[in-house]
Amino acid sequence: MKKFHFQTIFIASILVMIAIFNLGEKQANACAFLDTPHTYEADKNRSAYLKLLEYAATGRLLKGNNDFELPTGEAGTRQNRREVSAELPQEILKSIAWVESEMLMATTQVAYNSKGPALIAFDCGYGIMQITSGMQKPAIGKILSKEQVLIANHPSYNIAKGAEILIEKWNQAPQSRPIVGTDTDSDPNILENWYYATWSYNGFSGPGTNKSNHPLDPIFGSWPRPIYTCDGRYPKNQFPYQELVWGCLNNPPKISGKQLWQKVDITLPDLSNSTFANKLALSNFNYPYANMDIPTPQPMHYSKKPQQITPSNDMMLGKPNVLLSKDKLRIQTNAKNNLADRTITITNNGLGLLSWNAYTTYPWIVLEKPAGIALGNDIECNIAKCQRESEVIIKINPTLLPDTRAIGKIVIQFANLNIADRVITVDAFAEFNSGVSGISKIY
Amino acid sequence: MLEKFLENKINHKRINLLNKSFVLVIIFTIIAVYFFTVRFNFFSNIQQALIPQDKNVNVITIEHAIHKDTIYSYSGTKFTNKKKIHEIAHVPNWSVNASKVDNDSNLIMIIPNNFNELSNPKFNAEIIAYNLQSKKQITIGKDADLMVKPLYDAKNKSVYYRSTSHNQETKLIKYNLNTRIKSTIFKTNSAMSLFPIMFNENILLAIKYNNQGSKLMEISGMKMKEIVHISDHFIRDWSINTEKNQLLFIEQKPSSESLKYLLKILDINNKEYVDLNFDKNNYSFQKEMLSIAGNTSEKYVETIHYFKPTWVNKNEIAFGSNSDLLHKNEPINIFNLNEPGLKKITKPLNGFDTPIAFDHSKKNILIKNIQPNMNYLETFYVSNNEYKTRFPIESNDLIIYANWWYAH
Repeated sequence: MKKFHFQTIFIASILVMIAIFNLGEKQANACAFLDTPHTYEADKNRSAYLKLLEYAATGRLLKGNNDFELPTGEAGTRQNRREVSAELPQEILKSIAWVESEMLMATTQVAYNSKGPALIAFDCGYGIMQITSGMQKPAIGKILSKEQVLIANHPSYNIAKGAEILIEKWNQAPQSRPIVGTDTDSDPNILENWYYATWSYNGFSGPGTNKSNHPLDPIFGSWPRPIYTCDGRYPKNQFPYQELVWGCLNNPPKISGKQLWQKVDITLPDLSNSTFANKLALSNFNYPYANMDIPTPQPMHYSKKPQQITPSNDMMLGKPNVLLSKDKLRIQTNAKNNLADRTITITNNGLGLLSWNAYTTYPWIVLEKPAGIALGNDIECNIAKCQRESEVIIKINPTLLPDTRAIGKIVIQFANLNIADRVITVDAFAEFNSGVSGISKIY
Repeated sequence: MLEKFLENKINHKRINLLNKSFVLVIIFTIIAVYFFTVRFNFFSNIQQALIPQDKNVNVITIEHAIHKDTIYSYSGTKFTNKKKIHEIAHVPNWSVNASKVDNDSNLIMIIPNNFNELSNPKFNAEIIAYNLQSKKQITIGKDADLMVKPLYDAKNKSVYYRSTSHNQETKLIKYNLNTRIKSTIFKTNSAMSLFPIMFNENILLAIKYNNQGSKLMEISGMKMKEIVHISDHFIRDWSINTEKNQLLFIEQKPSSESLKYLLKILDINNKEYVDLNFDKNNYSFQKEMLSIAGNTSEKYVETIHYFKPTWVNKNEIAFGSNSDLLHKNEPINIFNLNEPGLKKITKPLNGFDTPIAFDHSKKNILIKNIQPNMNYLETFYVSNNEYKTRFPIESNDLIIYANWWYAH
């Protein structure tokens, strides 16, 4: 009997260790999420994302949404800085989206016009705009905020957040960032004036940091150097971040031979010129970088306003509506119950993308997928692998069950719907086979 | 045909220089020689064949493509015999960073192959020692900082590299290829721009940057101390002499007119500088360079920039130069420190040349040519100054690395 107990405790301990180990690993891999959330990937030509990026740059995407609305911008030199309208150059936003993720919301294994695991970098950068701000860990203890869920699994919100971060970087000048355009009233309509804001999008880092984007840092080639061509000829590690963005504007990326946008002329600060080189001297790279203000690099170019865009289904926002397949689950732990018994199907019988996330405070309930997306009827989903519905799959960790039978709850939230959270009851019944023939023991 | 014709004429003693067919044959011969010379570099081939060439000498390159970098060797009298040695898969659009190949054929490479979706390829890159001769590979670690070139000390079979973590921790790591022992030789919890440059007698020398400038640091017993403050500015393209007591480097210094690339030598032991750029000091090649260019006025003193200096031998340095004002196709300069005087290597047709390295004979030099008006297009050549030859290293892909390799 003693031997039996020892054996059982030993096996249980191993299971607990494996479970803890796995949980820890998943946490590290998916940052704010316990496991990788699922998202929607739009068309191969990125036409849906390009529209979203243009719309976001105008400040009209998600206008009125406190968490995602584009803040107002600023203009002017240090002496006359003032508030201006909420807008930014759509050209720069598009190029950043390409440099960050090649304009992909999901991993490269996910087919276009279908769903799959979201693109997550190891620095907890999520999706198209590789949003890292606030995505390192769950916002409220172990629970995600709606904002985190939407950034991770909804392309429109991800892009809106990227635009918001870029304009915030711009607005950090002059308090904690230098100004470009001391001679042009730091007009945000001039593309060249976004040099420091673009650098800041990837981290306003220089010598002494672990990922320098300082253009004179000797980890990059001597100045002047080639313009990044955005076609794979030059490796990215030969250029600071902002030169990658400038390079992709000058040499637009192509998909199936077609350019994603018309060539955009934009000038880098000529570091051979002492006006710029002096300002970028090592001794000036000192918070709050007040000595780094520079004039607008010449020739300068104005941003082209996008043509009239009307909010439409293309924005993927639509009017989602939720339908859950069940609100109660009964699960037996001997793993012989079929998948359907442990699955809740979420259907979006409205339009646009329905973002959801599920959590539980019961340690014995394991959710295979913490968040996902359900597609409305207007969303393209015509390939064989694409499934409009989303599934929440539940497992029971028997080693953590408090008793032979336990009742727990799962909460499903819908971040882009103004409805109450849905609570699913999970009734778990544990049965172990001891391994000794003829004996079945309930713990 | 020509020989037969002359033989007949001579044998029959019937040479008539005004003979119409004889004149035609001569004209035909001249055209044929001209054609072969132009089309097939006829004399140059003969000339190159006469150059005593070490058969083991190769140019080794790493050539970049979106998903992989490939190591090639180029050999033969004109370095046209191109052979693929090894392919290295990497994260799309990134590239490897490699050390200089030493006599033991070990090429140390940092590879951004952390294929985890969009993980920052700058950190946690794989570092390997790849032997070009045996084609065997040793994995040193998966913790290298891609942006910092690894340092290889062939004498002690030791690799030194920087490891940078996402949480700002910086380490310098030593790995011995013989014993396979890996040790951390310096660690700090803050991010630090540290570049290992030389190992000598249990001391690692490194360059450190911060907003106070560039410093030479000494690392030993997990401790780091400053040897000398080199400059208030960035320095780059450093090269240490074989005696390991002089550091040749470029200082990037903003001046009143432009960003200057100045050439300097630091005597490490005495902590003294030799500033090679201005005619007021001992080594006044600035004046010589200007007089060669035909412009000696003070106006032009500030216009010459220097690139990629390297030691030729104990007394000589080679470097590239360029000037926006002079608008010359600039060859490589060789300067003798003991007998101040400037020599120029064969002039390029376009752009300016920068030296990569001399071969063992010191007669062949591997050159990178840069053409500013072609988006800074880089092309590589082997130049022999004695025979005035210049052979291109032909590749359709971007060559991101080139050096000499002696196969055994």
